[in-house]
Amino acid sequence: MLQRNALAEEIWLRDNKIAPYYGQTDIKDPALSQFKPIYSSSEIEQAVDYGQSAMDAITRNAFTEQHNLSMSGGNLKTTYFASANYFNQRGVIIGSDYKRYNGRLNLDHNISNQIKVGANVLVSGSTANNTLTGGSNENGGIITAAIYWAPILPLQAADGSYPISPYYPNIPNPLSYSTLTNTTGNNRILSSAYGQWEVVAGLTAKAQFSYDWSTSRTSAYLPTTFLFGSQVNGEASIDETRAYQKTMIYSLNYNRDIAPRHHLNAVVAYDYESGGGDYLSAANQNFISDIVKYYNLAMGQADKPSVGSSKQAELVSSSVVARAIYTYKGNITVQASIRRDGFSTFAEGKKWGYFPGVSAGWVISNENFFKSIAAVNYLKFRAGYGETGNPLTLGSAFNLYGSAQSPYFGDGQVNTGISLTQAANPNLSWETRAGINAGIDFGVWGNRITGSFDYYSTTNRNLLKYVAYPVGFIINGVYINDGKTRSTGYELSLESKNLVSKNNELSWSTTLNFSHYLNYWLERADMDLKTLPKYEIATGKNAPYKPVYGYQSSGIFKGTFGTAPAWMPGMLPGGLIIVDKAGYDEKGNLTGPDGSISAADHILLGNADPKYSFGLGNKFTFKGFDLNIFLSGMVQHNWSPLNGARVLETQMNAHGWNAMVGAAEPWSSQHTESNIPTTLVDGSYAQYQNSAGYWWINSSYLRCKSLMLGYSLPAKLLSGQKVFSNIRVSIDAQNLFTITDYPGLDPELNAGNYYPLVKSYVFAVNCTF
Amino acid sequence: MNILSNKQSLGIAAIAAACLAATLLAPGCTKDLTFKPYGDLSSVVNTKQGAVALVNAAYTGLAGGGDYNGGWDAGTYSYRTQAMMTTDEGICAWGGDWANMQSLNFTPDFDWVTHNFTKYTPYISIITVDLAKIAALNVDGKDSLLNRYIGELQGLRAEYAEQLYFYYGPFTIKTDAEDASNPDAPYEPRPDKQVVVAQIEKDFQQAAAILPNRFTGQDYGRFSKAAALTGLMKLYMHEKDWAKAVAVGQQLKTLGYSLCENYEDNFNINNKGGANPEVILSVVCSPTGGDSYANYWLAMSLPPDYQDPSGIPLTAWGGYKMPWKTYDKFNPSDKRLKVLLEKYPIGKDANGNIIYKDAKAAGDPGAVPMKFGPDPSRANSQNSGIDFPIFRYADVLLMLAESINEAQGAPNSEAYDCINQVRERAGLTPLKNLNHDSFLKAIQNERLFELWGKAGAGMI
Repeated sequence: MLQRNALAEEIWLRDNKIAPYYGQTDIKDPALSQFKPIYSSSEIEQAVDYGQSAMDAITRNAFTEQHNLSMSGGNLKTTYFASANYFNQRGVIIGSDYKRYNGRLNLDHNISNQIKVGANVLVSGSTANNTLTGGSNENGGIITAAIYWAPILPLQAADGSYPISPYYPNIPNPLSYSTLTNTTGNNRILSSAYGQWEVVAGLTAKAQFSYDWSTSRTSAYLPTTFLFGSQVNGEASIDETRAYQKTMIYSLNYNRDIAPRHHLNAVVAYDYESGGGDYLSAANQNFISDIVKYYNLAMGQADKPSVGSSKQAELVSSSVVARAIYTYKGNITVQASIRRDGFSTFAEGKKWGYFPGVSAGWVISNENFFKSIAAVNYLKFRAGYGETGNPLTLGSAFNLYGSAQSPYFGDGQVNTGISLTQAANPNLSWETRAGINAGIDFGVWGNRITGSFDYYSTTNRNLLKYVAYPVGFIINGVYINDGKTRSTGYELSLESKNLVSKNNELSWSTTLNFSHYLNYWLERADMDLKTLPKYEIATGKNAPYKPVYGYQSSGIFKGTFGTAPAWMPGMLPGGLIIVDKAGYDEKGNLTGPDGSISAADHILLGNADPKYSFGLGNKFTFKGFDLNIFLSGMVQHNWSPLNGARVLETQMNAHGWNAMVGAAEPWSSQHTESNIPTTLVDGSYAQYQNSAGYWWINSSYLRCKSLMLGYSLPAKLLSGQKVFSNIRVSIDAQNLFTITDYPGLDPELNAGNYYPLVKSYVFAVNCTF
Repeated sequence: MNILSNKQSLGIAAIAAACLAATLLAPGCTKDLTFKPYGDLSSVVNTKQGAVALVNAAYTGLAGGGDYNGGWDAGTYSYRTQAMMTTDEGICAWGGDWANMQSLNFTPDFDWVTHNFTKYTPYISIITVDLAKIAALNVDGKDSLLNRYIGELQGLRAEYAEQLYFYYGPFTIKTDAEDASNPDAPYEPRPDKQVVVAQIEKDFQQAAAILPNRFTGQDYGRFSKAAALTGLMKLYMHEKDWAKAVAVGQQLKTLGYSLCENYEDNFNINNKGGANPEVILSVVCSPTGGDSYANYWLAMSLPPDYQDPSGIPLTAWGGYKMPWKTYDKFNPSDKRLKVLLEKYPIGKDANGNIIYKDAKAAGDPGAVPMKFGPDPSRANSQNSGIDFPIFRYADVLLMLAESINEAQGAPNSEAYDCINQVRERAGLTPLKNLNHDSFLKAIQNERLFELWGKAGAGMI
């Protein structure tokens, strides 16, 4: 309330052009109509505190339980493996939970010494009750509703109904989200079978088939207790997607010592896959009772119940692979392979690509001359070059016409329209990813320290990209084979056994991994360059694949009315000063500073990809106890959530929404020394200020992903019975703490209102029979 | 295991593998990889059934073509909203970029004012391509239905081009199908104004020559001769070609349109299905029409505490207002104030009497520009099925009055008759004895009172 009053007063000062900051009007000018606070001081004193914030009301402590059972067995001819799993999670937000069931059966049978057949079936099903999250304004879902909720109102009325906030009556009451139904059921059957025949010793022919079938159905009902339901007297809907993937692989594998110390593994394989899916939806409104929910859609009384369906184009791929791996003395390996891949979405005559690869490895520590270096017990060098193809799965090379644009005529009847929905590209073909990599694996001091280091440089040529046509063309853009990008990086992983006691009573080991990569443009196609903004760097290491462009800011303007920088005339005090970097000439090319702020002043602020990722694990064991601590983190930058979520004229004043309140006051005529931007929106410069470097902040973090303490019952305790061979109990605290300067809910998520990452504690019992 | 048997098996393996690899890796020996989409209409486009669907798709630009209530609808990019927010007619309570609309604080980086150029130039090129497709189906030019489609497309092309020309000045109208479908066509500099005006005029004239006076029944909402002539009249007035404007206006009077009895029936359920004799062209809406074909005006305009006396639930974001200084220009007895509210209903008392809130006394920045009636279907509180009128006969009458005044240097009896028909319906006294300037002023005011909240309420 105090925040809203202060903001309203600042707006009043600006709108009445009061000196010294907003104009030349004297605040004591008798012609002025005086400022009226939104809340009087008596209203503020009498405000009821309902003792519970809306955010507390929609969240709860939750639990997860999981039960696993597995068994295996068989005889000389036949073996089996079967398992069942149940997982149940109650969500931290009211109305959300998730249950999953899995069953699995593997059978292998030897018909003869040469012929073997087998089959696997995996069946899984899950049911999730969802709440609504992640939209904007009134469609922002339960978390937004809770953030917007004015804390001076009761969340539920005495009669059990859910009142609507008079300040922003378009969003449902946050508690009322618990009364809606939104259930997603997923089912999947993955079955596969194989047969293999050892034709002669070392030569195996194999055929494999698999079929993967999955469905996902969301059934929803918005009841009359929920604002969006009450507006239409109940709304029920069912949406279902189904997907299939068929795979067929024939292979011939030769794996044998061809002479002493010479080993050959050669494979020829043929692979054919096809996949697709479809979609069906139905919805109705205006039900006589909330009881029927989505069970009988026909009972609704809407003028036009809605139906929809679609079927995806089937994606077909085919490959032939030939690969040979030659090993000498067990420690020198040379591999060569070639693939011929075909994919249906590419243009006629452009569907096939050849992708070769070679690599070699040398375990140098196995060589006799190396044995003298006692400290190093394992050392391997690896290097390789390989090409692979990336298929286009989101579009195709062909003209497509669809009925996306249909007008209404008569008294409201839809009339089907046809329009071009995809432009043809008769040259569209494979994107090729060509990578070189080199690495070492090592172990020193009797494997007390082991690790690996890899360096790679991957170049993607003929990159598949949807590129825009020039403004005014009959369709927005087309898939093309754009230029080249390159990704270079390294990965380091180390494991150290810091402490190993003789009788295994006490041990401590540490694992560390660290990686870095940079993905940037090497070349771009002419068509891409045509529509690329002039301020963007087209190629080179300063042209990251995921660039973040914005404006350079040079502090806060704190001067009085009329003293704004020459290139930002009339800017509001307390606003970010943007640096004038460039302008446009008549042909749209960049010039030097032009004395005004425009899109030409964009600069590269950074890279949306993280700079470094790392993980650090420590494991301690003592007798039956074990303790695992795993930390992970990233060095990165991100947009500050404070820009959108702070006290702001367009949000708090317009709709009475709550805001994140920082530790310090933003600039206002009461706080003229503040270095935090004003809460007023500067019509002339807000669009530039909102993407100023000021808001592109360090979001690096270190998070304790998992802290697990376990205890295995000593063998002698179990020796008295024959049921259990091993029992272990453990407790796992996930996401226990995060160290970061990032002011948002979570540095791993975008600034927004998505389902939060939860801190969870898992208690487990593991029995082996 | 001896070496000999190893060598034997190696031989067999090598031969088998080599044969297999050679056959499989060679092009040709592989399964069919033809791309098979489901429901692609490519083969339908060049048929007569496809022709009507191409024409239908061309209409979607009138409703913003997928934009959030753009075109002749009620959202940020709509002509209606932009005209209102950039003049004294309206203000928006949401601040932010809406304040820039009011202060005309435009820069080349302000998407709200540049967006429509990007949006509608493709429509013009698509229509050009469609016209060539339909002409190919109608080689002898005798198929009357295909001729009508050609007329509709020409009318739409002229309408889109006219809006862009009024907004952005002369620009290249692509009229060659091959050029329009070539993404590498060289950039053409802005043409002279005369070239653009002549192209729009030609399209409107040819459309008017083919199309029926009005569309009814299932075809209500299509571009008619009356719509083409209304567009043409606006073009002539924009070019100050007053004599031609008068001639077109007089032609429009003969097409069977008239003012409906109550002003508000242009904007409520009574404007639907062609029953209203005043509506020349409209965007036909439906509560299931999505962002383009549902009417969001009330959601944009009603204050959050508004409660319709009918009990129909209405989404109310409280954005659009008419500032009091403009509202105060209305004659208090003007019947059109029924849909422009100083006092609005916020509920009922225990006895069922409606409680009104006085927006002016409460310090609101303007009157509630309700304009549209609630949709009695109650299908959706935000998405209303009330149509958006684009051209109305009242607009034609006021344009004709203005054109006569300009062409002749003074109003004549026909000009008075035009403006007074509009005033009479609003319950106002007829005008008389005015000179050129005072008549012009009267037209200007009358256009505000009659046509606010519809792009072009001001003088052209």
